[in-house]
Amino acid sequence: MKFIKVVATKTIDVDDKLAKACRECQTPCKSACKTSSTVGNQVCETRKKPKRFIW
Amino acid sequence: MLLDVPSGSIFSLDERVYHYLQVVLADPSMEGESVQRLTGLDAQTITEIEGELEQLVVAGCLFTQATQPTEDGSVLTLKSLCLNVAHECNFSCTYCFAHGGDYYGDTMLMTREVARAGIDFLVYESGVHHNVEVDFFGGEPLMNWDVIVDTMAYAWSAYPLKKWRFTLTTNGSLLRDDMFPVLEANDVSVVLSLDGDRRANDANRVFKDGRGTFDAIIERIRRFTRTRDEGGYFVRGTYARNTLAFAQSVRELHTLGFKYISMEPVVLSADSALALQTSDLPAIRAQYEELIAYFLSELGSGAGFDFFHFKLDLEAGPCLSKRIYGCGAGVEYMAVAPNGDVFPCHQFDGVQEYRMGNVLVSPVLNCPEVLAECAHANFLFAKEECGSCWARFYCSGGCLANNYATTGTLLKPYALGCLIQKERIEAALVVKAAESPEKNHD
Ligand code: SF4
Ligand code: SF4
Repeated sequence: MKFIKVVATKTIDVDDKLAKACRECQTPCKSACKTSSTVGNQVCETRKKPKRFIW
Repeated sequence: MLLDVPSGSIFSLDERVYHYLQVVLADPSMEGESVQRLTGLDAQTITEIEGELEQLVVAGCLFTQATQPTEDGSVLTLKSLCLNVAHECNFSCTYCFAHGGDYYGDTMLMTREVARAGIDFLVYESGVHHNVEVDFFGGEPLMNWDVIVDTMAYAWSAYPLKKWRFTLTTNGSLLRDDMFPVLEANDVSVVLSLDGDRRANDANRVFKDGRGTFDAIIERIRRFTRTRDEGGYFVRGTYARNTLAFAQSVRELHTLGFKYISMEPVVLSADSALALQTSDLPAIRAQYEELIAYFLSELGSGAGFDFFHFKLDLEAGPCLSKRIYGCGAGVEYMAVAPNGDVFPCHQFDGVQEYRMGNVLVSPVLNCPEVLAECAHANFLFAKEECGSCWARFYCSGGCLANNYATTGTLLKPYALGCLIQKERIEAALVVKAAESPEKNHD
């Protein structure tokens, strides 16, 4: 496109993922005394295994 | 940047589209010459812009319907435990929320019986969950190294069918070479606290007698991180009012040889001299802008640099269920104090109003009201501000402990924390936009 650069589309897939949520992923603590993570910093366990968890 | 919040679609805009949207969104009924006059764009350009926007709308990536899931706390079960193995620390950092490690009480180390009971509790409550997390925390957890080693051995041997994930948050001062293989063998992720070079670090991270800690820790931390070149550690700094130039601190940490770096805003009561203030926001924004430039300049350099908060995986991000249930404090995540008391998380340790039980007693949990309060507060849309916040699906609803400390309730977000959080998420999205090749919207 000429005026709009598409960075990413539909990164939140409402219908699909609510049903399949396994909740096997890391809890996202936002505390400064750990390594505060937003859920945005994390990945879905079933789609991409993180090597290690980091707080 | 343009973010379609419900679908998580992200676009980088030409300045002309930005102006066009500003004008049209302010008054959607506006048409024709008025739009031309207010945007300063000619008719041909406006037609082309509208055509591109229309394509995105048709593809379901723009102006999508807001999502309003219903609350269902039954999906939450305990899967993560913080073992506060030491209510004691050899440092006395000026900004420590845990009062120099003792959590405003007596110094105390956790016994192996309490730690093992914590593991039993986690396994029992986690039910069919395969992945379970244990964070060794304090105070300074390495003051209780033997219990850490025993706890990990117990977890693997007593519950081999669980996938154990251990993390350790340490000031690095007691790290010894003989610990490295143990940490490696148990696949322990390590967070090392260091605020920058000597200048930034020693401004706040001091021994009990006030001496700076930099010289005592730097070589120990370096020796350890050299064993983890491929990851598995983060050097984590904190910035406060007296160390606001955190972009410089991050560069210093990188220059010191660290690749995996994180830098967090301090949270203190507003009357503390080190607490961040709303008036600091322009400076904080400028620091994130400086960091964006540094991050992007280092990307292609091959020198290895990873800034935690700019890591957004747009391809494999979490599902919506995760995005709407926050940090899990008090339901998916709990903390155990050295005496066995259970709290919603490490920051609630010692807050008696939120004491949930004790791992040495059966049943462990004896406070269903706290459990119910936490489950509700974890739901993103239970917090009015979060429900309409553009950052909601990245933040997932803030820190309940900060909310409680600053507003007296779990349900009202800590306003300054939100502003900083949004700066940080915006910076991460800008980095993503700069990194990404153009995508086909289909
Ligand atoms: S930034 Fe604040 S208002 Fe927005 S989702 Fe997070 S806690 Fe809620
Ligand atoms: S309440 Fe705050 S400190 Fe506690 S687990 Fe949640 S984000 Fe972390």
